[in-house]
Amino acid sequence: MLSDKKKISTRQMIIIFIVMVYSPAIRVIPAYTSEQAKQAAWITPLIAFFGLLIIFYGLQKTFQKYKDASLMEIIYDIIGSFIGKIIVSAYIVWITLLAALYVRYYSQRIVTSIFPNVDIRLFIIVMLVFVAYTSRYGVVVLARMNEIIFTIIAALFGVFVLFLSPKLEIQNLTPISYLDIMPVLKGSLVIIAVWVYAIFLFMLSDQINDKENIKKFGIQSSFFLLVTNILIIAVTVGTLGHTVSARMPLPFLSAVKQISFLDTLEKIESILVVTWIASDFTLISILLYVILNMVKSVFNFQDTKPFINVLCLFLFILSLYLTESSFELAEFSTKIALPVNLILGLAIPVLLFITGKVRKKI
Amino acid sequence: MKRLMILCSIILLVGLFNGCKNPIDGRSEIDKIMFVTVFGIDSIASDNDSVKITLTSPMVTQAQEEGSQGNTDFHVITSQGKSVFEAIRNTLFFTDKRVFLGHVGYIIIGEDAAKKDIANLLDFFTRDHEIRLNSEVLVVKGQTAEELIKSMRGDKELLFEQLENIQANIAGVSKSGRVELIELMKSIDNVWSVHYIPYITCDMNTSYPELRSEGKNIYLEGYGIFKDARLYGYIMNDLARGLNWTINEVESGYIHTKTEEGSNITMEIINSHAEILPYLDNEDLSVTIKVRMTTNIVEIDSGEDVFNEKKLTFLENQQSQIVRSEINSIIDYAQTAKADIFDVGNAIHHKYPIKWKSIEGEWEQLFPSIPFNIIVESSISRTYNITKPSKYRRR
Repeated sequence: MLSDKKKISTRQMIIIFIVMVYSPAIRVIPAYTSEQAKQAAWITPLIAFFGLLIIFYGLQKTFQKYKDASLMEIIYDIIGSFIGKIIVSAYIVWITLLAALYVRYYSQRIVTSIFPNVDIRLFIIVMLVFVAYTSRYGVVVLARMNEIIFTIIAALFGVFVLFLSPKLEIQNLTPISYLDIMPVLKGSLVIIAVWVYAIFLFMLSDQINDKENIKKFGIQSSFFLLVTNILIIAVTVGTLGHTVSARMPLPFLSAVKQISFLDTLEKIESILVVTWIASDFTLISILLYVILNMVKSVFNFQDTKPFINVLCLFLFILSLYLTESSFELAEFSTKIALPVNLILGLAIPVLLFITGKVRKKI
Repeated sequence: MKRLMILCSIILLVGLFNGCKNPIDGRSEIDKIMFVTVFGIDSIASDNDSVKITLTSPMVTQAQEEGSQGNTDFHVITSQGKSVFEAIRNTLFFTDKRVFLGHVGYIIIGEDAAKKDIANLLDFFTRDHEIRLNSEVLVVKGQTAEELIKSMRGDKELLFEQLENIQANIAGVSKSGRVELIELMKSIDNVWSVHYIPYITCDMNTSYPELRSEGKNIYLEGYGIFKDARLYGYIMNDLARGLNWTINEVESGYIHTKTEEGSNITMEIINSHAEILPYLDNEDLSVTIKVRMTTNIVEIDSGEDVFNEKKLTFLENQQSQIVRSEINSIIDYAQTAKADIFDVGNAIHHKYPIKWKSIEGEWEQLFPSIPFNIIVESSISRTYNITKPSKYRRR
């Protein structure tokens, strides 16, 4: 068992969670929700909010019984070691794909928005070298670094929202009627599919202290994400309109490009790209830790540090060959990643929780 | 030792990248970039599939570099191709600079090009990563964008600055306005909506030949009306201000009328607010346009004292009548053209979303028969330095 100093607090893990979902939140959520729910897109986080509360409730209940165990050990205990290892292996495969997908998203976003003619490999190499280098210092260092990243991202996000608010047109966010119920439910799926990363993060639960605080910090973070996601969608759809947002690969960036404060403060989208990259760094790094921790659990390894470089190399290759173009990437994202995230992040954990309850393990 | 190795590797990498043949393709030195500020698009009469572009960027003279006021001329380059992108790339055949579109403030569409599908023409601008969606869109009346841009060379001001200034000043008469690319994109997405884009002319084509300053002038006269993304016609003067009343874009301006005794009097519009209010009574749809406005008296060309309740009420009624007639004229124009210029459909969609769903498809047919009711609530709030006019004692 790790000493307390080598573990991070639940609060730090929750902050990692908030930062890691920032990148997909501004990339995919405004576009997808405005395509599904149109002008009512800004309501979709409300539905997802309840989904996230349920996830944190389930985690709190689970860790009340298993204080120092990892989520993998809990799975083995509930459904047996053999089937448990098969399920965890499925998670390893999927989270590895997800990490590669995010490496690709990150680089794709830069070549779409700023450097259209640059070789995508350049950005992938830079990110993975940085991730590989910092990963050696452990999750504690990442968590501390992430607290600084969080503060910067939150402050800059506030600035973007503030400067975009004069451009926001309320009539782009209305009318709301009962006709919007189904579209809002559909639109909220993508947010839930992103927020289920909370489950993936708790695969590192053996490296987290004070898990009795999951409920407290979970509720706080759920409210925070609810407000920030409503703001992201509202300022994007409110500025661009749902028809335009739905057709854009990076609608929040396009909205930020319109910021013009007193005709002096303009062209500040590069700052947004910096916050994106910071969020991507946290996301890719933490997924790397999650993969390594699961590999350690399935194969009973003592140390996984030697695998960091190998995994980064593998992610480099996988990110390049996963899809050929941004169109395939978008298709993969909505047609494969979204449902698989919902299955592995929500359906299976709920089934395991129910099984644990039935077997009186939780 | 390990850290030293890493440091050396980084330094080596940085050095190697510098030596590479343009590792970051697209990177250009600043003096090799043409910062386009005004982008003109025209169609080519002899070739329906091609477009002609005219780009302008400020010309920095040595005098300006040294800090003094130099000339304000601008570079103009023209090119053509099967698409806007091809035309831009074709500039590389003859210019030593790479075109950069991140500073495009105005997209000017020539009249012939505007008569074709502007949605297709503007696709490049809405798609390209360099262009900002808050660039303004203008139409040139009676000539091509190239002709207008070239005719403005050698003037006292840069074309970009002239356009900026007249757009800022037009609020003083409220007979034209501004439309950003993003607004146009949203408008084109609304299948029932008709678009309006401000139009400009130069000295040669203006409807106001009597109004001019020294040098070359650009006139922002009104709006070009687009149906199915094609230029349908132009509106100016009362029609244009009628549209501005309805879409809540009247900031200031003047209202000229007569007093009860027949003297001329001019009022300055101080503020206005308009609402489009649809009403559904059983299945009958009607629309009320409600305008609240305030004016100040700025000029009386007689000795008549109008500052009593009776005469002020009369003047208020007069100005309300003028506003009502301007709005009526644009409603007539719109209903005749079957063109929902002021987006009444959107107002119905917001107030009656369920009803709207059932009529959305046939809105173009329904719109001409919708009864409009116009309510104008106007008031005169004050005058300025003096109250009674100078000649009042002679009366």
